[in-house]
Amino acid sequence: MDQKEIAGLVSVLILLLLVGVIITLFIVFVRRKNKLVEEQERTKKAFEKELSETQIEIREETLRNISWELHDNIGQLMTLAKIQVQLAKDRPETLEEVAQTIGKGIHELRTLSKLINPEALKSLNLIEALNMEIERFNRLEFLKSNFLVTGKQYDIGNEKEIIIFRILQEFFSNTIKHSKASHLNVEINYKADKLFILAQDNGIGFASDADYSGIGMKNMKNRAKVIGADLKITSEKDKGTALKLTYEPNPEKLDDI
Amino acid sequence: MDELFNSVFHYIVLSFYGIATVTAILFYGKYKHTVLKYFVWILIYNLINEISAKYVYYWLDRNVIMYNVYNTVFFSYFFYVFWNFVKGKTYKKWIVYSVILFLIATVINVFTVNAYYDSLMISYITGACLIIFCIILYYIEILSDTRVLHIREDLLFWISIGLLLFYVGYIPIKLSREFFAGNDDLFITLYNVQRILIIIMYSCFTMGFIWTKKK
Repeated sequence: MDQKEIAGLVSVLILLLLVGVIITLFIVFVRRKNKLVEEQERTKKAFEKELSETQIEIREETLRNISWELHDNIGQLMTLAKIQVQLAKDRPETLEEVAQTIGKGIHELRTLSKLINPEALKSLNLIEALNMEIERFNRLEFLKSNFLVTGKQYDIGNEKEIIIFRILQEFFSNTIKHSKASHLNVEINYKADKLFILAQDNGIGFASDADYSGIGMKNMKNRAKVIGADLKITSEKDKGTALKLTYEPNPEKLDDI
Repeated sequence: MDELFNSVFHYIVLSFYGIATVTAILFYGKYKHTVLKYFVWILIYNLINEISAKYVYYWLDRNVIMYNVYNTVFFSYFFYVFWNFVKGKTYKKWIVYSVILFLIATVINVFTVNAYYDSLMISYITGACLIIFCIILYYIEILSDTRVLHIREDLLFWISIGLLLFYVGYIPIKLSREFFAGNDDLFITLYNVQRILIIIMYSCFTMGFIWTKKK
């Protein structure tokens, strides 16, 4: 072989080798990119699934609350009014009391109808929704509840607020159903870089996670994970249960209200 | 011995052309909705060109003009394909500039050498470099795409690998032949390397036709 031919051959081989390396790298990059994109899509789908389930649960919970409220609150008032009317047959001067009871019933009915208006529910933000929930506990005298918001409020996105609300709602319903607590305290602290939520009751608590696993703990943790929040539930026997949720919003999406 | 080897090698290369063309026709249904549907005609044209080139050479003693025409058609078609597949507006514009540059080079070349006797060197080298450039643009776009792309099932990806390997290898062969040797026969090893490159390229095409999935 001619020397020039060898030179040509070598240069061809080197170039082919280079192109081979480039193509291999390219394929590796495309694979990795595909993996990342698939991962993102999976996360997004999980979030959407969780969100729609959450919305359904909130709706069911709302219906349950309405039925509860109708039965325990308005129903009781109506029963009372009925008894009062029956008694008023003999003592007509007590009719004024009957009117008052019915008036109270109408007032409660109005409050309720305002609360369950779907438009109102849809446009609620986290704070308003929690406020309503707390007010309801106080009104129905399930528990003595306090609600405190500190820091400058910002929007973390409606979908994420819905999920956080559902986590808290689950906690409240556990408190009411199982803890025998008399007080519930909820605090929300809007810090510049993170949102900190504390909810605690003074109920019977539970000794180990095992006691709590049956009542939606896994679900709550799962939801917190979906929105990337940190959820801790701690409990001491006979002292109460506390929920601590820390959420760091995406700095680009922060919007002041 | 050399004569026999040469002749066998020639038929091997021809058979690779044939295999690629046959698979292209067999799997035509998988890509007939894209601009790559014309590729099958290019392959048939190539096959006819290659087979007849030998006889034309015996007959007229010259067949360079056949390759000159074929190469110009081939390059123009692939500019069109990449222009069609690349989505980015800037990239599309660059491909248009590439076509203009290629046309200018071809016109100059046609006026400077006699296309009947000599290969259109400037046109060919410009075309090959610009096709490589278009392939790079196409690859960049695949990498920056936010969707999941299964490139193994993408016909153009296989075709572009074939083209890239062939032209990157063949440009130096063509140049060294042009500058160091007047006669093609002098560089027999390089000529065989060229044939291997052709086999690689057409194998890539064949794989592409087999692997590709209808989108």
